[in-house]
Amino acid sequence: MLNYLTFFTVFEIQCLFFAAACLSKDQEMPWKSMCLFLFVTCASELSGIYLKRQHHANQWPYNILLVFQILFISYMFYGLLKKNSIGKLAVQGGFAILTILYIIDICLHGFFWFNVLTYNSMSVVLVIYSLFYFYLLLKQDEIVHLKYSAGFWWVCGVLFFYFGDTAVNIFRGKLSVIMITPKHALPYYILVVLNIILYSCWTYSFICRKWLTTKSEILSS
Amino acid sequence: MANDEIRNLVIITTVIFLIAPTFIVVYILIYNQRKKRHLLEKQQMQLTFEAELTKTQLEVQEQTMQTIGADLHDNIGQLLSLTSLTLNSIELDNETKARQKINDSIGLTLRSIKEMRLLGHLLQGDQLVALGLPEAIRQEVSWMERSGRYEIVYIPGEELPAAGNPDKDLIIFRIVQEIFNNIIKHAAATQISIALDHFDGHLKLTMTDNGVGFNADSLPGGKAGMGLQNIRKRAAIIGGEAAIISSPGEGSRVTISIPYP
Repeated sequence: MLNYLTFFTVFEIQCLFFAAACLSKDQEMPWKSMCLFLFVTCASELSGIYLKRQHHANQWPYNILLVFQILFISYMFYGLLKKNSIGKLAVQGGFAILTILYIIDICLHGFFWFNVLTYNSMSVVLVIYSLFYFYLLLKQDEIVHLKYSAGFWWVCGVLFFYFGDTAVNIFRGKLSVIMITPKHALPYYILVVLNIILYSCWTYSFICRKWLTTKSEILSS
Repeated sequence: MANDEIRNLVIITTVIFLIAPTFIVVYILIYNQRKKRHLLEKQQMQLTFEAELTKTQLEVQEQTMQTIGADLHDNIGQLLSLTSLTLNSIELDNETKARQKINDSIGLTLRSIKEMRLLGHLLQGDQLVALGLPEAIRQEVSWMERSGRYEIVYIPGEELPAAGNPDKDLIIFRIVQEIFNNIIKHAAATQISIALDHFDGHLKLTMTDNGVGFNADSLPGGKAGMGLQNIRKRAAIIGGEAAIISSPGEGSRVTISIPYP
């Protein structure tokens, strides 16, 4: 069992626990659905490790995960940007484009080869959503207490992860030859750091969300 | 390009990509903090404005009460004393004289009633402003004219917007009262002119007198100076400005320009 605990799985599992504890009773579906998404993420990651240990091709679980990533992260952004008509349209348009790219990728390379084109495009699209969310945040008149804003921290996680991930994906060929330890090259360590940032931001955002819901309940009772 | 150089370039670019979100997030946090501070300042300004408005309202009421008190003592009180004296001096034996005195008493009583009615108008205080700024100033002008000491020319603007701004009206009205007070106390003027004008979304109030004037560049620090400072402060609080032009022996001119309504 301990063989399955990597930097990635540890942070994903702890984030799943926090999501289950904080969001299982959330009133808003996009937030609630994060529990399911993180469960699928953990399951895919563990399946990937299992298949690798068994010396099988382990890319297809990540192709399944990619579908869930497009679906759930777009759904979350839809929830965060739906108040703005352009944001709403952008998320719908982005979702349509990514779906088309995914189908093209599958048709070109098959299901057992990782859909790099879709993944890279998704990273760019999610960075654009994040920047648009921040733009709306700057533009709005009302004061938001960013320190306790669940949406803000969730988007921060996405921006950090996918911005850095885009760079790693672009330069993967050059970065992969830089061996930090005999076992792992530079991209591995960058991804570890990005994962830590992503899941830390998300965990904090779930706590903020729970805190907000509890406070609202206390205030309304 | 050597392999090492390419590698360095790639590493630098990757680091930039990793650091860029940090700058974005820090910028948003700082901007949000500033926005919060700006909003608090705006709220504080609103509170100051409301406090100034309440103070102005109280001052208008106080001025009204002072005028009423003075009028009751100097005018209506005198008229009623005279009526009482006239009625007391009636000799019933002399019918012609008695009739004359009764008629005089009736005349005095009617004047008292008229004065009381005018006082009634003034008692409405800030309600006067609700009739519109030109009308409120007209009432103030007619009250000043009654003293017989001033020749007043009042030109109310014809192009004033129908829907005024009650808050601004009240403050402008108080400025007019303050200028009248200054003229009564310090100017020794005989002629006053007031003009209201509206153009380019601005209301322009001009008040001139032919009094003794003063050196506008070196205002005294006492009450008179405070009065003029108040005029400037009040105009500024509603987004306008006051220009006070005067020199000894040449009267004075106060021009106030305010975005209106």
